[in-house]
Amino acid sequence: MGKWDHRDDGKRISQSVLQGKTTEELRDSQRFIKSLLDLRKSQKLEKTYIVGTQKAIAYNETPKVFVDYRFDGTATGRLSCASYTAKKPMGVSFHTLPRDKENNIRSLFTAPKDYYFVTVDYSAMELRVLAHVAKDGQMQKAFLEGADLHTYTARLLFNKPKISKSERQIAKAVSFLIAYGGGAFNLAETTGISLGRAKKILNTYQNVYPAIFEYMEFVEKFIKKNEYAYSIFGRRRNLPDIKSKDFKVVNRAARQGLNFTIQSAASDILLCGLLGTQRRLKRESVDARPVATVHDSIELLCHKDHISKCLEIVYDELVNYPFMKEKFNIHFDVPLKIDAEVGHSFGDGIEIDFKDGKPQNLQMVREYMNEN
Amino acid sequence: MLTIKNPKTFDWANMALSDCCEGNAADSYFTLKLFNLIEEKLIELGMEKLLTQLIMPSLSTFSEMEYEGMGVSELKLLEVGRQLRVANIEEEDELYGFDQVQTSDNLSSNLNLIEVLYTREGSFELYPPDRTGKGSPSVAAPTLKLLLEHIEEELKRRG
Repeated sequence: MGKWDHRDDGKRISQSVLQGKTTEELRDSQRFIKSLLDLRKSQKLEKTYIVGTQKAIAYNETPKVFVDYRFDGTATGRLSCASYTAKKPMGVSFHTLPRDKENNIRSLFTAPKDYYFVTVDYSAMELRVLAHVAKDGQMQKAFLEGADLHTYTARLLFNKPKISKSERQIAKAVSFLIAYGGGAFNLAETTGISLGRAKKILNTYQNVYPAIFEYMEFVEKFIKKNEYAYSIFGRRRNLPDIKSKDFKVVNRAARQGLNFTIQSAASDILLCGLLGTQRRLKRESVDARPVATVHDSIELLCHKDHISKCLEIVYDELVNYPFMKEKFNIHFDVPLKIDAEVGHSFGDGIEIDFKDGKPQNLQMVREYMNEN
Repeated sequence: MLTIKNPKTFDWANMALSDCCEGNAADSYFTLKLFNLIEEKLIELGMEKLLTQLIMPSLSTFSEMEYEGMGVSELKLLEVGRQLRVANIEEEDELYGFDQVQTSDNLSSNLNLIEVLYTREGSFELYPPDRTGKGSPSVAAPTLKLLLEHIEEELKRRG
């Protein structure tokens, strides 16, 4: 089997082999590979979540799953969530739960009688953190105006008022690449555009949001000098690899450092929101409690009679963040935004509209409750 | 320290109270010693606030969440499980419907899949855009996705 080439050679030969195929043969191969990938995906879903949950229920001897939250599970300071060990199959990881509505795995997790799930998600949290820490006026303006950041960015990047779906997609990819520390090569890979075009787009992005690049430069210089990065919460990550002689290792450490300053801050903002919410719920005797947190979201169980009050508290604690202001004296230059849902299960519910911090469509929620 | 040789077979429920207390006291003692050391270091690094205002208070929140667990609807579990199994069978049937695949093929076997995709005459006879570390043609998802991209590019080129 040693005759097979890989990387660039493999890709080149693969492409030339395809050129020798008939269109019908290509279509057959395309359908076959697509179906194979779909099959693997759904087999994995079944094994991980259906079989995993069945095992957990049998092990726990109750229709519940239990997970293990870890503060030290990631180098970025983000919270991780695991299903204990293979010997103790008590649960499934919530952090990898798919959002797919077709085979709605999240709908397996349901609220007890008279209780509802309140799911609250921070919207574009990492990019809001980036706009804040980098003090980029242009990006902050987009958030302050309540604009869709990716459309806003695409308009500036492509210098035209009407933006196509793919242009918005490219703008979105660039913003996330910056936050995750990627470059032109990654942009070309993820969006399917040429490397030359990716480079050009990144250059334009630099003109659109100059402070973001100044911030990146600042972080890199800081890491090179101090061998660590720190977040606005004071959390730090040691990055000794920055002193490596291998430039690839140095670049990776710089990327990790930049990403750390954003991801760990986003994670700690959620933690502040979670703590603030839990304290307020207890203090104001609201029959609701957090039961899970997944990435940028908090899941609560709330008694049906306390939904309105619970939503008001969650909104205040996450959007106005009094806990974070009091404990860390952090005041964001950009507004924080949440999306909230109320439903019977983790996987479905009614989206809540807020006005001045108060839920507006509670009648819809009541109808949903009566129907289900 | 509360150290047990065979924790899996040990009768925890009938452990002598004095042993349990002694073990827990030793655990607390060493944990406190460790805490003092770590606390000092965290203060030195300027992370004291993070520890005392955020991490320590959130421990009880997380332990409450871990203890509470998440309820599962067994009915939904059956329903979604059945849906997925049916979808899997249908997808598998579809794959075996291709002329290039033989009924004796086992598509869960990487070796067999290599034959179907790359090496067997009369099958798809594609070329792997990447190989494994050991030099075999790769059938991993990223390689297949890349192959799919190449096919789509070629189809697009032909209009």
